[in-house]
Amino acid sequence: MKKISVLAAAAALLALPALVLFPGCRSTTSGIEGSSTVMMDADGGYQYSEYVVVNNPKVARGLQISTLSQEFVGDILRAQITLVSKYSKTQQYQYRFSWFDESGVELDAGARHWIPFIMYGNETKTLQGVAPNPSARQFKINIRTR
Amino acid sequence: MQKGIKFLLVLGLGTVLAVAAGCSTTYEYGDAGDAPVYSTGFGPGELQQIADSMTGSLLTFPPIVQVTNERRPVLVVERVKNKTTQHIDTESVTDSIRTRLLRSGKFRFLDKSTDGQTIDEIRRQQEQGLTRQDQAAQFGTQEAAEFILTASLSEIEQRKEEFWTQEKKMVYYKFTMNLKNLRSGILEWADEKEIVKLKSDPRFGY
Repeated sequence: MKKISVLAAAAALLALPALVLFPGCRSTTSGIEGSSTVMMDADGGYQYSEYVVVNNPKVARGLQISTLSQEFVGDILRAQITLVSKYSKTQQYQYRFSWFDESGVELDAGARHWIPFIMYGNETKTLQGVAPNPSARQFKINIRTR
Repeated sequence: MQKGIKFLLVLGLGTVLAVAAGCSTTYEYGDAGDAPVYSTGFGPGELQQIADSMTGSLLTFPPIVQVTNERRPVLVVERVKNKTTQHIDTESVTDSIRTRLLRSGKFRFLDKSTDGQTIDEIRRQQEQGLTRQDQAAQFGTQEAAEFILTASLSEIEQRKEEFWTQEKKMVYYKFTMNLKNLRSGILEWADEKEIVKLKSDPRFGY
């Protein structure tokens, strides 16, 4: 009886730090996503369609995509997004741009990578990306916590 | 009472086993675009950030845009001057930048690293007597580079000791790239990319 109690206490003691030290091997990787598509109208001018998707409300509570804008530099599409931090403390995030042609086919799909950035308390920041080649007509930006 | 103790025992041992099994050593594929940061050394994340920044800057620099709208200039890339104390494969940095610029369709490149093989092949075509001479490559017909891309990577390291932290370390990297017109000698474009990596070793905890 006494032996079992000691064993139980030992097991419980072992379990507690284990649970604290290893809360899990997986972390949340979803975040927020902004996208903008450039379409040419009949007059030869450009029209833009934009959307923002919140996949992780926790990220969206601290960070807001304020504007999505784009311009052609020569024939290369350059994207800019403005972010606003809603937290008063410094936060660490990562972003990744993806580029698509007018048929929606992703350009250089294997070359996408996450870039870290810091948002200071209640800061407004712009991030820029340049399309890999002149066929880009749509961009998407994914943002997640680091 | 004894039932409760047994339940605690099973629960405790079960939790330990579950945690141990769940986080045991595993081998799997990683994402090349999401390289983890394990040190303050120059890693793949820095390489990608530099290649991204330099390519974007060069492709959108107005005088270069004007030139590339008219023609695809021929460039040659010099190896990055490594001014850091680390052993860095700087050729992979220039390889990444060159690949991205080539894939933009805006530039063409001369590859100096394969000059030896090129000379051997031209000589073989001309001297072995197997190749039709009207199709054989000739010496002195290659295009000359119009621009040269040069770069350097430097670092500044600082350390600090604090009571609550065993060691605080900051490594500042600066990558500088220049595009020089070989015929006029004029520096047409230059840009820098700065990256800071921090390390903090807590005295207590893990």
